[in-house]
Amino acid sequence: MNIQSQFGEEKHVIKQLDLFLSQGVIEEDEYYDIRTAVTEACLNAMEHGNHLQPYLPVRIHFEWLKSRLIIIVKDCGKGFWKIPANRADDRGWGLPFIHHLMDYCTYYIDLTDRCFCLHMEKELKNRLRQEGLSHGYSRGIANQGQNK
Amino acid sequence: MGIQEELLIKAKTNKGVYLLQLTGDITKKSGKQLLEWHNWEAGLPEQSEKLILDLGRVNYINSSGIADLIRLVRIGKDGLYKSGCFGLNYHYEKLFHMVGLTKWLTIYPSEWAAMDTETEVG
Repeated sequence: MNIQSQFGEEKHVIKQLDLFLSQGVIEEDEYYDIRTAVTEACLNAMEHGNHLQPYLPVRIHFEWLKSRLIIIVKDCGKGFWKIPANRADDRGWGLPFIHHLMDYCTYYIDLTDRCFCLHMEKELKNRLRQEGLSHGYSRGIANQGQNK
Repeated sequence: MGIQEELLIKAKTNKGVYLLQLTGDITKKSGKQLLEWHNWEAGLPEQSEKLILDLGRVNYINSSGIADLIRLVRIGKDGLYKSGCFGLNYHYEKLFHMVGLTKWLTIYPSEWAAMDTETEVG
């Protein structure tokens, strides 16, 4: 999916993520970890990658690799060479959150699409379990969507 | 709550406790709204000594929102007021620990525990 580079757009990604994750069984703590990592990646892409220029898109790609959830967030920026340190104004927690909450995270320049990519992965405990045998979080997410 | 709606703030004072009931999201925009809600550097309204944030109706807090919460709590930490919260879900409790916010912000299990000024732990 694509979003514009303005604050608040990341909430559209949460809705799409809920829909995507409702296909499988997921624990509540995993869901919140992924939700925070994805929104922080989108915020970084919008603010630091695209400098909040609304016409510049942030592209988000979700994919399952067996029990592993892969998320790629692409922006139009040049990326960064080292992880920026926390600043004096207490901001800059987005990347530390992503690294802490996901199992794997890397960055690269996609020369084909000419964009900067943040690639994250998380292994889900119950992804391969049959739905109905687990008290997973998938139904909760689906119901949340219906209630809104 | 729609995508554009941010934060609704309701305040009440009770026995030296200034309670802020927050509904919505704590983000860069609404975090600023929270910081501008009151002149925090002048202390709490009605000479209250304790600031309690009811986070039970907050669905989403991003890193900018957490940065503003750190700022709010840090203003009070040098004797102006104590800070606490309740209604926080486990995930955000984990993030608050991670950024060191819980050094100055007490996480209470319930409103009753948060509003109690008689027994202070720690």
